[in-house]
Amino acid sequence: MKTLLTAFLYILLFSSVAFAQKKTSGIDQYLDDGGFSNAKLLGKVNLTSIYQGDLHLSMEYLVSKEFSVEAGAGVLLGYYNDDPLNNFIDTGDDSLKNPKMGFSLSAVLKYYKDGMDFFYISIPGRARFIPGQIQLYEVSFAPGKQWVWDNRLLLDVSIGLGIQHQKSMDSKSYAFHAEERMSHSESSYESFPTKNRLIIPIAIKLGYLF
Amino acid sequence: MKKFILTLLIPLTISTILLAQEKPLFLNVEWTDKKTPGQKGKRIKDCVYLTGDDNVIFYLYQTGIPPERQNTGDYIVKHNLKDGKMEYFKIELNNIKKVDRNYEGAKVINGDIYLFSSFKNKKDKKYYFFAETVKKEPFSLNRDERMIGEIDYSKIKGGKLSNMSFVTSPDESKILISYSLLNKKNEILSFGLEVFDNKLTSIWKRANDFPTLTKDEKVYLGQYVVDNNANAYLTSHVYKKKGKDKKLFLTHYPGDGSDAGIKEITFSGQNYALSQHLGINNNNDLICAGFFSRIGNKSAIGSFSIILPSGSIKDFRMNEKLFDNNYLTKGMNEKEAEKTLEKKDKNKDFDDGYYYKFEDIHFKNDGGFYISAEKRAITLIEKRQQGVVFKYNIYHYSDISLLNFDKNGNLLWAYKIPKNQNLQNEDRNRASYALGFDQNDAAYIIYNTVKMFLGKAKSGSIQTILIKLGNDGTESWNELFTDNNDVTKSFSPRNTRSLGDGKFLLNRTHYGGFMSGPSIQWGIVNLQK
Repeated sequence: MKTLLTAFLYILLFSSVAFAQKKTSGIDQYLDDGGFSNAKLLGKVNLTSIYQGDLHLSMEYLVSKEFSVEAGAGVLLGYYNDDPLNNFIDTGDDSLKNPKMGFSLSAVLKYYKDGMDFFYISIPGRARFIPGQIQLYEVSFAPGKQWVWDNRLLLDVSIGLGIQHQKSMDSKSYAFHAEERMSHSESSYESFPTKNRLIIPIAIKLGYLF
Repeated sequence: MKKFILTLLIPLTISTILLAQEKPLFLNVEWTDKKTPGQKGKRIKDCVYLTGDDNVIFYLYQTGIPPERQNTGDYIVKHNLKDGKMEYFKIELNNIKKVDRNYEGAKVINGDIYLFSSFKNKKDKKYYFFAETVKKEPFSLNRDERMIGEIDYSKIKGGKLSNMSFVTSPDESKILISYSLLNKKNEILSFGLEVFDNKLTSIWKRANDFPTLTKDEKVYLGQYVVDNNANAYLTSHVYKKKGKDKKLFLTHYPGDGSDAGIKEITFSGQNYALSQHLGINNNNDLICAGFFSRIGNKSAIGSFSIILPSGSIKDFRMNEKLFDNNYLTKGMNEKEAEKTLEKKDKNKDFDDGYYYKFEDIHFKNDGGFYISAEKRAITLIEKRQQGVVFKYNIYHYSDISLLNFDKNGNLLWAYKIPKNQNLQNEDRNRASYALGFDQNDAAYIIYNTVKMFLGKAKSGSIQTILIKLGNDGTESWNELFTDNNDVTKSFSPRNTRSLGDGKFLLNRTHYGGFMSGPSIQWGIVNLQK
């Protein structure tokens, strides 16, 4: 009886060990690249937005090999420069005078043709808020390319075509078409209709694959 | 590749062959039902027979979306020819952690189906190669994947693995895997090869043994073969970057690991090797045979053969023979023939812009051999319509050549089937040819002659022709399927396979609708009877 009980306990012990072991393939060690090929998160800093006065950071999540979503936030640094490529399609007054500090938000939907280390098409959107002064909203269609190196550093470059919308909060601050306000300045300081324009946004981002 | 800009679609026509006609041949073929492997709605890109018998066959099925360069899926299919039952699964190779491996190819070794894959490990800075088998019953992956080799790319900047090929020795006791590492301009940075036994245990491995290049030269690697003793051979062409000089080199990698032997193949006069194919017979003799041209030209003016008895470079033997004018002008009208011969006599190109696709060398019972090749080209067409540019490929399947050599490499006769098939997309399945041999070394060639307009075959306009050539060169021809128009409209010489001894696995590929995709039928016939 005691022997039977002992044998039963041994069987129970070894079967639990067997169940506790995970199933592994003999080639797992060769596919272990430190999580590189399974990586889902990419962190980025937008270099071109720093020129525009927006220190903007974002995180991209790879939903699948083809699709990803990216979201970001930034600090508006108290100065403003327009995207230089916009001069090709909009020659009006594009300087925002005396901007204060504020914040920005962004979201991007991406489709990769063949993995994250290749060409993609995206729909980026961004909103910038300077409280009491102005709100800027933009959305575009932007193809681009991303390079991911073995050291996990990455470079993401895109150029697109989109629409930008401005909403002045003080009837004085405008990021573009400001000269149109001047034409009304003799008659009144009433608020003016919000303005839209076409834009050619360019984004150059440096990042890291987590 | 030539670029054309067209504003109108051109009708695509095929010329018919006029030969002495035999009686129509009525074949009693039991066709399987129409089946669609793979994802519905996707077009067929390729269909490659792997192995099988009279009852069950296994093949690879590749789908794509226009333009045909875009691959959407690789499937492996099991098809029962008796009851028509079809099973298939998509080749997606990953481990329990869902890390994808790149599928590189399939090979049948001693009746077993092997799938080969690779993985770029960025942490180790190595490419790893894997092999696994397919279980025939129940039909599935065996999950027996194992690592069989690796390449260290840490010292090669930007190397991308490409051009993996898998060849077996005549007795299937040895397997050779070759690969290249390319830069972003698709130039070869490094290449290597490894020979395994049939248990996939490595026997030897080498890299970068080819002629030293000068700065103004570039190399194109050709074909690899391996013999039963693990000796491997490679042809390579070295070109001058400026100028028209082109040299053929044959490299021998001994199976015992000793130094590689490299031999430049020199031709008489101003001739050079235009295109060639390698094969190894059951005596382990290496055969290299193909076409030559004159330096500065790209038109085939003759054939050559090289024999290395038991693979020995020291005992190298070579023969060259010019084609006679009848062969070169076969199928041409008087004016075309005159123009061709005039250009040839003036050392000008009369037949350039093509490459040659060879079949495996067939070794005869008397020690001689056949080589066969089809002239092909691909033309990229750009069409502008209302400001939008459409691009598509036209695939040209031109003349078929069958050359018969004796055991000493002397050309006995050369036979040409002139044809001119210019097709796109799935119409390519109507093109090309199927080649087989029987126990008496008679050759059987099956091909379509067809008139096509905008991709749809005109009713009653297709003929399927069988040409039989005896070892002594006697020829006869028959028209097949004359009693069944539906068969001729769907018959695919391109996907038809010889099973040996005059037996063929015939294929019919039907165009599908937008949602249903193409469907396939198979049937076995013995043409020797």
